Amino acid sequence: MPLKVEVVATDRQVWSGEASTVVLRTKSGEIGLLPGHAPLLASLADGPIVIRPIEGEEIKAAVHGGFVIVDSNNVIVLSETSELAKDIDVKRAQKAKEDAEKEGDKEALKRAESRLSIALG
Amino acid sequence: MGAQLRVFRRRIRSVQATKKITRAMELIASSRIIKAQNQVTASTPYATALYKAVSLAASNARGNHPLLLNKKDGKRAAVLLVTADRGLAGAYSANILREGEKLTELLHQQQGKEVIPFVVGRKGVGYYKFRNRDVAQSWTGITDRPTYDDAREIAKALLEIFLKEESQGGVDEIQIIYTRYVNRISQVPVVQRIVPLEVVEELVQSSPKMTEVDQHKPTLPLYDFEPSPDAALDELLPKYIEYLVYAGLLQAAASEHAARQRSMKSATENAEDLIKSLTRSANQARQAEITQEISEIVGGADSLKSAK
Repeated sequence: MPLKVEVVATDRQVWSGEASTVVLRTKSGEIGLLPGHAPLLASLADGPIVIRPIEGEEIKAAVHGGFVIVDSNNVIVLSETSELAKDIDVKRAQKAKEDAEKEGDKEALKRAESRLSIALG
Repeated sequence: MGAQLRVFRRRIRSVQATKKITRAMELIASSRIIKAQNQVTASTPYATALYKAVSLAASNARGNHPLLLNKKDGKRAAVLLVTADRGLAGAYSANILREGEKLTELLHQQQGKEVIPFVVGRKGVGYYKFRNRDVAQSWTGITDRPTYDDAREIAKALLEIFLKEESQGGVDEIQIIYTRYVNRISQVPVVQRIVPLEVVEELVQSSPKMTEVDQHKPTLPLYDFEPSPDAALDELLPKYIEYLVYAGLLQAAASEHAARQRSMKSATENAEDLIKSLTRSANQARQAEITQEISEIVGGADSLKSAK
């Protein structure tokens, strides 16, 4: 039985579908979720999540903080902002990085860097 | 052209120009209602997920979180008023401000609390400024299309004052007053207490209880928490409050557009009525002028005839 995955951000549902594996980074380290995983509520660190859907190619997304809830093969990733790798605007992310460097905003810099690294593979 | 007729024609033209403006505003507002509603719908998957996470963490957490704790005998309360940036929306902002005054009085008389106002929207800021009353903090220019970042900023300011010691001006409850969008015709101002959270207490109680049928199963699915339920709650509750503010702003935006659409619609209708009655008066004036000219001509011809 596959995992039912939902990735939600405050302003929209970013992705939903069935997957065989989900890999994400929690505050205490990277975890992989397979069907039949025990119920879990974990807080996420900034970083990429990787979803391997039943059909089609691997999907990467950037999340900045947030949570994952796993419950009887349902996986919900909730995060204030999350973007699929293919939706990330590289130019804008680069500009955000430069701006963050200028202003010395470490949080924003980290976000921009993680977005860039995900978008560029 | 006679003086009277000219005055009527000028007034008709000016009312027509106003009507064009109000009609345009009506159309813009009605298209924005739909956008605001879509924004509300788009945020519901997040709300559902967040709700679930909060109730899970709350029912498993051991310690009493400060945001859930009902402090007794507080001296101050913070109230967030969500008004409009622009007018021409009927009684939209006035209703919120009136509701705010009622709440202030209630808190003051029944619990002896001092109210610290936080205001969203230029109309509310103007109201307080005109009366020389202090506002703790205000945000303007966001009510048309509120974003999550705006909500985060507001929630941050509210939580900051909540977590302060009472001797340093901290508050012990936070209320938000916004307009809930029911439908295009009806929008109601609502008062909602966001801190201490009431919702979560209800949630915990309504979590699935053991029935006789599934007694062999564990009561709740045993969740693993990472790092711990309390740490998760620490992180989740501020997010939940941010979301409550965000939801309030979205509802208010939809209501504001609806109120503006309605008031602009009646303004357009009034303009039409005015144009109609002015046209009648103008026609009357024209007729009177023609009659006068005819009688002048006839009178002139008569006097010429009798002079011969």
